[in-house]
Amino acid sequence: MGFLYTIFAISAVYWAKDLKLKMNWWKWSISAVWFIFLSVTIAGGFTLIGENELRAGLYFLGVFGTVMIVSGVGLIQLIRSK
Amino acid sequence: MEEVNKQKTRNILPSIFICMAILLLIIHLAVQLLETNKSEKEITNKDLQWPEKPVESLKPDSIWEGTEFIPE
Amino acid sequence: MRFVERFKNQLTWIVVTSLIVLAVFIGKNRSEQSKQEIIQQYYLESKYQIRQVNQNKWIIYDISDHNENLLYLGKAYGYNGEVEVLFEVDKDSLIQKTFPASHQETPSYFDKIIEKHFFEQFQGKKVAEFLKNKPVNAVSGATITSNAIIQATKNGYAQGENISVTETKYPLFGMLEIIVLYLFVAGIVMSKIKNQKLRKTLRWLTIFISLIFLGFIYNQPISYSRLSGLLLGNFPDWHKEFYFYILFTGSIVIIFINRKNVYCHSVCPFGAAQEILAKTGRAKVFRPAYYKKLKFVQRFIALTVVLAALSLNNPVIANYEVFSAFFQLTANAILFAVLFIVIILSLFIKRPWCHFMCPIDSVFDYVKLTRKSITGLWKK
Repeated sequence: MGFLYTIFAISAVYWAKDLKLKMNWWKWSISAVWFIFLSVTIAGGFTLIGENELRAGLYFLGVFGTVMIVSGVGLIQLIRSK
Repeated sequence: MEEVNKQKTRNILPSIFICMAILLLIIHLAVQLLETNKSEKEITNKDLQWPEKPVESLKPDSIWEGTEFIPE
Repeated sequence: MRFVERFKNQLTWIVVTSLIVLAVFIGKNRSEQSKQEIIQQYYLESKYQIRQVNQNKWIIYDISDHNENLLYLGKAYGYNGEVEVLFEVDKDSLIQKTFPASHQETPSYFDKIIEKHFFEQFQGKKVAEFLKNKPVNAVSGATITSNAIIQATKNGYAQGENISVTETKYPLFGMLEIIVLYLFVAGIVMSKIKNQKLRKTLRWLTIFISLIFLGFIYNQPISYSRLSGLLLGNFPDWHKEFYFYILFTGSIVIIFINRKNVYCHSVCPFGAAQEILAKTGRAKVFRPAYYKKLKFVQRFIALTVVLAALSLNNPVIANYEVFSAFFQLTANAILFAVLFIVIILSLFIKRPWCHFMCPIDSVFDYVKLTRKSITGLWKK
C-alpha cells in the first residue's frame, strides 16, 4: 500500500509538470490533505461494506464520496486560478 | 472544428445528465403513486411489533404484597 | 405578434387554472373511508364486536378472550395533511395498541417513524397523561409527523371523553419567522444597492443564512406536497407554523408587486446550496437551443403531478423534491440518485435543479403568468 502511495506521489509531480500547473507549497499540502481524505472515505466505505453493513457502507460512500468530488472540483479550480 | 466539437460535447453532457435526473424523478413519482394506493394496514400492520400479551397494569399495592412494614 | 403572445398566455392560464380547479373538485368529492371501515381494517368483524359510543369512541369486545376495551380515533394536522390515529385503551386506562388510521405524510418520514418503533412506545402509557404533557418522544428528523400523532392521540381521547383541553400558547414569532423575514427583506433590498462590494457581501450572507438555518437546522423550504395540501384545504396551524404563511404569501405578493421571484433567488436554501456549488466549480449558465423544450417538460411534470395529487386527494403524491434528501438525508434511493446528479451538475452549470426540475419554479412561473393575465386584462 505504501509503495502504491509513493508511486502516486511521484506521478503527481510529473502530472503537474505535464499540465503546466503552477504548484507551490500550500497547493501541494491541500492536495495531499484532499487525497488523504479520499483514501479514508474509500477505505471506510468499503470496510463497512465488507463488514456486512451494506447500507451503512453505501450511505458513507454516497455522502462522503459526494463531498470529496465537490471539494476535488473546487481544489482543481483553486489550483488552476492562482 | 475542434472548438465546435468541444462546444457540442459541453452542451450534450449536461443535457444527458439532466434527462437522466428527470427520468429518475418520473420513476420515483410512479413508484410513489403505486405505493400510496396501498392501504395503511398493508404497509404498517406487518411492521408494528406488538408483544404477545397485552401490557399488564401496575397495581401499586402489589409491590408491597407479602412484605411487612416494620416501623423504626 | 404581441397580441398573439398575450392571447397564448391568457389561454394557457385559463386551461391550467381550470384543470387545477377541476382536480380539487374531484379530489374533495372522493368518498373517504368511513370510520367504521378504518376500525375494521385492524379489528376484524369475525374476531371483535364493536359498539359506537360517540364520534371518537367505541367499545370493542374481543370474542376469543371476552375482553372489553375502549377504542379512540383522533386526528391532527401533520406535514401535508391530517394524521388520524386509532388507539385501544384497557380498563386501567393504559394504551394497549396504537395504529395509524390514515395519513398523508411523506413516505420516507413515515417509514422512519415505523422503523424507530414510535407507535409501540405508546403501549403501557396512561392515556390521560397525553392531555397534559408529551409522554412519548418525537422521532428526531420526523418531528412534525411524530408530534401530529401525539396530538391526534390527545385530541381523540379528549373528544371521546368530552374533555375540553386548553392548548399551550405558542409564540407566533420565533427564530424561524425572523430568519424568513430577513431573507425576504435582504432579497428585495439587494437589487436596490448600488455598491458592488456591499451587494456581494449581503448576497453571500443571505446565502449562508438560508442554507444553514432554513436548510440544515429547520429544513423548511416551500414543498410541493404542502402546497398541494393547501389547495385541498389542509391549512397548517398558523400559531405553530406562521413561517410557512410568511414564506408562501410573501413570495406571491412580491411577485405581484415587483415581478421578481425573491423566494427562488434569495430565500430557498437549496438554491443557496446550488449557488455555493456553482462558485466552487466556476459554473456557467447553461442555455442550450432546446431550453424551451426542457422548460416545457419541467412544467408539464409539475402540472401533471399536482393534478394527480389533487384529484386523488393525496398531497404526498406531489412530493418529488430533493430537499429532504439533502438537508436531512431522508429520502428513498431514487431521490438520492437524483440529488447526486444535481450536485455534480451544479458544479458545472448554474442552478440545474431550479431551471430544469424544480416544481416550485413552475409554481412561481404560474404566479407570474397570473400577474401577466391580470395586467393584460387591465390594460384592455
